[in-house]
Amino acid sequence: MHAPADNAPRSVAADFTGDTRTASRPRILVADDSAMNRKLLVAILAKEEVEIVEAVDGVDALSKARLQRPDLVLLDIVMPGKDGYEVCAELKADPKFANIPVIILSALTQPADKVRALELGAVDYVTKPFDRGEVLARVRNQLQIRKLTASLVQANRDLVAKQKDLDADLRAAGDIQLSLIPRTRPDVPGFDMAWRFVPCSSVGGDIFNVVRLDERRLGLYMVDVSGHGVPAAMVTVSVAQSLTPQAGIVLEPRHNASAGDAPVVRSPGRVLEMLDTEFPMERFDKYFTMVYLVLDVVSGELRYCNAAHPRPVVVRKDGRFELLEAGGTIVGLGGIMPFEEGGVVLEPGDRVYLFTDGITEFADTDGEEYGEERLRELLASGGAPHVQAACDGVVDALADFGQGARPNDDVTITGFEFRGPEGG
Amino acid sequence: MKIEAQHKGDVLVVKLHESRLDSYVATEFRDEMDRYAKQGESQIVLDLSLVEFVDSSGLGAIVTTQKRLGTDRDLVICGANEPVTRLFKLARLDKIFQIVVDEGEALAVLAS
Repeated sequence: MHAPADNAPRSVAADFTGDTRTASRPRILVADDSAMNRKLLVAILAKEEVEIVEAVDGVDALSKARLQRPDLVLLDIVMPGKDGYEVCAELKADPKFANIPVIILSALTQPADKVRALELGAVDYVTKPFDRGEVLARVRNQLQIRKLTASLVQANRDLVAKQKDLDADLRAAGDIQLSLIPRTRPDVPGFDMAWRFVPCSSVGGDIFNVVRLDERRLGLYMVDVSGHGVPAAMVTVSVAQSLTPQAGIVLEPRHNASAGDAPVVRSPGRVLEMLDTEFPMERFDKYFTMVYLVLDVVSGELRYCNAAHPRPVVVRKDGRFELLEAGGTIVGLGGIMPFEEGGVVLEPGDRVYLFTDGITEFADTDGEEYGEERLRELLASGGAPHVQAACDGVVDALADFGQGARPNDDVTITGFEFRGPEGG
Repeated sequence: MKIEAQHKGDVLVVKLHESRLDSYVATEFRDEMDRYAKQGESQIVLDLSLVEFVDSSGLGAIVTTQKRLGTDRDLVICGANEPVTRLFKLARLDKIFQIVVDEGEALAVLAS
């Protein structure tokens, strides 16, 4: 190392401590009560690109270390007032200065002295009389370590800052997702709906909602977008938007709306076909599974289409169950396979549950999955007086099953009971 | 990501040497498969026998490959373990590409 040839202005780092060292020049505090020793060390370090501060005894060393925050202290042991051990111990005891490396300089050559100094937190030890090469090598070593540490600390700070931004984004994505699920239960006679939604920390892509299609029919959907985090949340927004009645998918707009023609309710299969075209996988590098069903709250007639989503369970009033499996593959493949449609007729007291794989694939600490079968049995067991209790029961059962395992996907279940025109 | 591809006659057999086909490798995997599709391969066998786990991103990458190949070119999957096969079935993708037990069966299917 040598001093730069030009006199270019250096950047000066100043902080509230009044620190005005030139940014690129490490500061070394040389503490020795012998003026000759200090002179010798200054001479050894003369060609290094460093700034040197001298201290004449222990007390002076401490006060200069605190005021000037050197990057390295060369510390003599035997000094009047406070000796080097005390200075070292006091520096190391203060978190503000504990990370300043201390190299002990002493004529003491007993191993026990070296051990004591190292135990007090000194990083290295040089014995007198000084060997120029040795002093330089050890000083350079420590300054290099100090520099690397500083860059690590900075890198870590940058990472923490970035992580904070990411966390904030993730929280925003979580809020977006929450805004896409119903806030209050729909007030529809003959129809009792409930749900539980437990979003996972990394924000999954689950959403569900119910839309009123006409005076008798409701459209219900549950969507699980592949992946997690902000990208998945953004796709859920777009999908939810497409499923609003005014977006022209679940309802087919009439040309002659002004003449009083009511929009036509699109069949579930057709709705999924349209979404499949609307959301090609290439567009966002995402696809989704989905169930869409149309329920006539007067007749109990239910039409549905299931795009590779976990099969919804119909639990009849008497405890028998049926699975809604007619449908097709994941949405986003651009018409690679047709979407078939299925239908069932609900009787008053029948319930239907929709859920995502965050429930069936929820694994306990041994990796065993909760599974479709367990869920089906629980839902069909008939213990719950209403669908809210049933949904709560599922979330409780998962917690019991998991024995402390945390879900790594959204846990979403919604259910409704068809009460019929008389049962509203 | 480690992937091995070799021609057996007109068929390109691609073996993934990874235990997980998940979001960490899916993009790289998809790009590599994309390259095979672009270089004009008409029959690809994807050997998943070393893969223990496939997540939704991995599934997406395989489906994208199938889409790039279009309907006139074939992708046959072999060696998938039980959970991975189950995943394909759940997504009903077993109706889109053939899933067979091993490379031998895959080559036989393509030859017929």
